Amino acid sequence: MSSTRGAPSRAIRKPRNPFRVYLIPLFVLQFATFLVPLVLFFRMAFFKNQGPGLVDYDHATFEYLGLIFVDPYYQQVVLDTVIFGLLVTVFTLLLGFPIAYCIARAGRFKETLLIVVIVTSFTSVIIKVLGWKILLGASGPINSILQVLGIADEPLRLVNNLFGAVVGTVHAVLPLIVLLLVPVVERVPVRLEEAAAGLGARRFTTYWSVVLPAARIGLVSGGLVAFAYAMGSFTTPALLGGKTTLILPILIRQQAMTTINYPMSAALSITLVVIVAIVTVVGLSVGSGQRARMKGDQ
Amino acid sequence: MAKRRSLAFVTVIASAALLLSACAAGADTGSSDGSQDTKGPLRVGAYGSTWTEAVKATAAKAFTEETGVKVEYVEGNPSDVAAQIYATSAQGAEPPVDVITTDDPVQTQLAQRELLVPVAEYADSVDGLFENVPMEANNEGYAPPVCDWYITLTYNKVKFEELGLPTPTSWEALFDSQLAGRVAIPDITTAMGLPFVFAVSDGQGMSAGIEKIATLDTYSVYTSSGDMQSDMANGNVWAAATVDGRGWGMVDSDPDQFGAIIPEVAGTDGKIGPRAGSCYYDIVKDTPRMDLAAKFLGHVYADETQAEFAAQTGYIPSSPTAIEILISKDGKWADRIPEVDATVPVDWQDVVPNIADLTDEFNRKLG
Repeated sequence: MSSTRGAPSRAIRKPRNPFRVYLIPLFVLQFATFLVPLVLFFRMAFFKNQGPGLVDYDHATFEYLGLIFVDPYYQQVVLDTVIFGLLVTVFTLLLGFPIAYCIARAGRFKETLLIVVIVTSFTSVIIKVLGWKILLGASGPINSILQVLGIADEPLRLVNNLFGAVVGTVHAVLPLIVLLLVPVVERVPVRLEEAAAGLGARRFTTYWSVVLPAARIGLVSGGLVAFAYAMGSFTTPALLGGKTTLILPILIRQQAMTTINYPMSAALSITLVVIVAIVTVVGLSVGSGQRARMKGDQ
Repeated sequence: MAKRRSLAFVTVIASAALLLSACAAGADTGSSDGSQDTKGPLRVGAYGSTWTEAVKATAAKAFTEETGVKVEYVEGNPSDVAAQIYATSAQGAEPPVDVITTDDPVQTQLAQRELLVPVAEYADSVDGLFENVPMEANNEGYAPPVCDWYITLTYNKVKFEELGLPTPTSWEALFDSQLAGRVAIPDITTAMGLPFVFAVSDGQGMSAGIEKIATLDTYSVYTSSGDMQSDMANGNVWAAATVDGRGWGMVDSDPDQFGAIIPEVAGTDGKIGPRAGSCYYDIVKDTPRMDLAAKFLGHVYADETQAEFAAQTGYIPSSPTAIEILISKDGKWADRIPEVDATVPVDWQDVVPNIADLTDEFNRKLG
């Protein structure tokens, strides 16, 4: 370890942040409006359902959480949800990083391109979904083109399934991820790319071997945000995924709003939050490990 | 290390917050402001779209002219609005609506929880309230039907002709192999879902209906009939099971393109349907606007209002006088309103206790 790390802190004392106090209202607000209702809701998962909207707080049970672990149907829903989240994350990063790279390296056009990205994010999710429903429909333009070109004999099923849900959700989260990744790419020194080019590396090799590794930590963060967004998304998968894309948020809503089974809804919500928390912690550990290795390399 | 830990903690919390806010945003279908002002507008839970527009143009307009009180709408399926009532009831808070539009299962559930005001507590406060409608309430003591509705098989006439398919007469038509992948059916969580399961059950029980639906090659299992209409208009869907109001509305909008019938239900000796149920307007328990709510119901259940509402939405009035007014204004309704004896009803008292199990079964078979 370097000697500076172990040095006594008496010599250079870091000044305290005078604005820390302003965080207190934020924490209080979060506690009151987020954490407390969340805990109260989660608590229902451990008590018996007594019919629509009724919870029997006299009878504790692990029945609902247990069901998620032992019932193949719920296991499949959890698996489908994770697969959906991972697919959205992978495709968002695959599309988002090159776009962010182009914007970060666009010189004087950077601001204009950023505005374009921001403006696209203003469009309502519903409008985007309706657009996709038309585009991906059995009689929609994509299927028509595929049939005219002879690529498909019959209309492909592009909507009301996992494909449609992933396409729509990637489109919804993409602007956010691009905006997150632009500063990440900006922090990768251009001179690294120039040096690679100077050593004879081709453009793709430079991108693959220099830029991507240098931006790994940002990619992990962006991926975590995309994953959390996908795991919590409801409208897009509900409208573009159809009945075959039964993921946790849709089932949670169904249990809370239609069958009004609050304990089951709470149990499913706990499962969802735990999955996201685990993936986030793992992602952060990977990111931290990489950061440590990079510091070590330097 | 401490910094890293706190960063990790903050990120976990932020991710969880993002996730749950997204869930909450998706689940929020209401627009109530939870106002505590007893002098504020009357809040009515209503289906959105055409339904709300028709209420605005008929009962709400007359109500505001009489009382000077505006009407606000909390839009959503009855089950969505009921879910908000359950939540506020559990907290002991004021209900999110003063009046709720219900269907049979929701009225039954709310009545069982005693979250609706019995008719006896307010009927006398408005002259002639409910006198024109048959008092055969789904739940004794609660509001009688204001309209009845059926499930129709709505189809693309042009496509049926192209495929050489005959005009459908029974629900079996949806299972024709030429319609594979081009059929839309309602999800079991919608008001049409359970009646549709009943429609294809061949009299063998709801589980048999779900089994049969699982064999159907669908384009979509929709949760919004507007969504289905859009798919039919775009040519993605060629046949659908939908509520009669929506079906007749599509026929009226493009009679050359769309057709709709109330088909024969197998296993019922040639009866058509199903008569999916009725719609009701009930006053919600603990509303601070009881008198206003009763006055509003006076307008909703009036013959002229029912007839005008039916003309705009396609749902059949419960009042015989309103039906006469409707037919006298437009003869097409004579063909669309079936003789009740020729139809087969869904037995809601039998179905309602099993809704959760049937929903679960439907999810497992079709998911």
